[in-house]
Amino acid sequence: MKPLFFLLLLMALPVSADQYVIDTKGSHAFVQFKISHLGFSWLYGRFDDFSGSFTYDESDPAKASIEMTVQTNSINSNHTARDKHLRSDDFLNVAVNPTATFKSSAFTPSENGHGRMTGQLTLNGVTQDISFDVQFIGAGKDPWGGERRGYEATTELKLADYNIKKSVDGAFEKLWLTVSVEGIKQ
Amino acid sequence: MVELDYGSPWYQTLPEWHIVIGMVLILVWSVMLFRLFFIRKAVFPDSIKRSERILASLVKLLFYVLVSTLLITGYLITTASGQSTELFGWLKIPAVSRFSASQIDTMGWLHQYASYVLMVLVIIHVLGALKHHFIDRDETLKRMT
Repeated sequence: MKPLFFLLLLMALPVSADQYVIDTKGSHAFVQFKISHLGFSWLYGRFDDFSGSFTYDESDPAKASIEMTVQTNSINSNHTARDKHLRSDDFLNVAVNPTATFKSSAFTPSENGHGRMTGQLTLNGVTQDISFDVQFIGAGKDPWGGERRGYEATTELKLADYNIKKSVDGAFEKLWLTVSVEGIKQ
Repeated sequence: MVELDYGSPWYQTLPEWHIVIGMVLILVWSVMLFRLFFIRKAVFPDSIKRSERILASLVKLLFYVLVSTLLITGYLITTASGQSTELFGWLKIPAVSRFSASQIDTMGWLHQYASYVLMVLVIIHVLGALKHHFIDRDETLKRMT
C-alpha cells in the first residue's frame, strides 16, 4: 500500500518545475572561456570538471533557476605549464579556492525560450552579481527514453572584479565566458 | 623561475635553459650516484668531533636526497603532459607518464622548497668549509681538492 500512497501524494502536489541534471557524464556540457593574448589573438580554455542542475517550468519560465559548481583545478588551456600557472595564486589560487559556483536569483524570459539569467558568481573566493545572456537551443525526447533541454549562456567578466592577482588593467583583462549545458529531465 | 615575469624579455628563453641545464645535471648526477657503489667511504680525520661526524653524514645524505628530488620532480613536471617536450625546436625530452593537475602542483611545491632548503645548506656548507680552514685551521677544505 505504501508506494500507492506516495504516488497519490505526489499527484496531489501542485505541478512543480521540472528538474534537469546537467549531462556531464556524457560530456554534453561545457564551461568555456576566451581571453585576449596581449591583443594579438584569442586564447581559449575550459574547465573539465563541473556539475550542476537547473529547473524549468514551461507554464512559468520566469521561475527557471540553475546552480553550478566548477572544480577550478580542472582548468585546461591545452598547455601544461600554463595550466600550472593558472592554478597558482597568480590566477585561480585553486589550493585556497577549489571551486567556483554560480547560483541564479532571477530569470527574465524573452521570446522563443531565450532570456537573461541573473545570479551570484563566486570565483577566487569573491562573489559578484552577474547576468548571463541565455539562448535556448532545444528540448524534447532523446532516442534513449529520456527528455533533454539545452541552453548556451554567455557573459563577460573582469578578472580584477574577482581579485585575480595577475589581471592587467585595460583591454586584455576582460574574459568572455560561455556555459553550454544539456540537462536530462529527472 | 619564481619571479620571472610574463613581460620579461627572458620569459621565453630562460625556462628552456633551466630545463637543458637540469637535463645535463641529471646525466652528471646519474654518474655521481653510480660512483657511490665503487667509492670507498671517506674517513674522517681524527680532529673531527663525533657530533660533527654525525652532522656531516646527515647533511651529505640530505644533499643526495634534495638534489635527487629536484632533478626527478623537474623532469616529471617538464614532461607532465605525457608528451615529449621539445627544446630549441629540435631537442626532444621523452615523457614517462602523464600527471594530474594536483600531482603537478605537489611536484611544483616540492621542486620549489627543496631548492630553497638546498640553497640554505649550500651556504652553510661553504661557511663551514671556511670555518674549518680559517678558524680551526684543519685540513677539511684542502681534502676536497
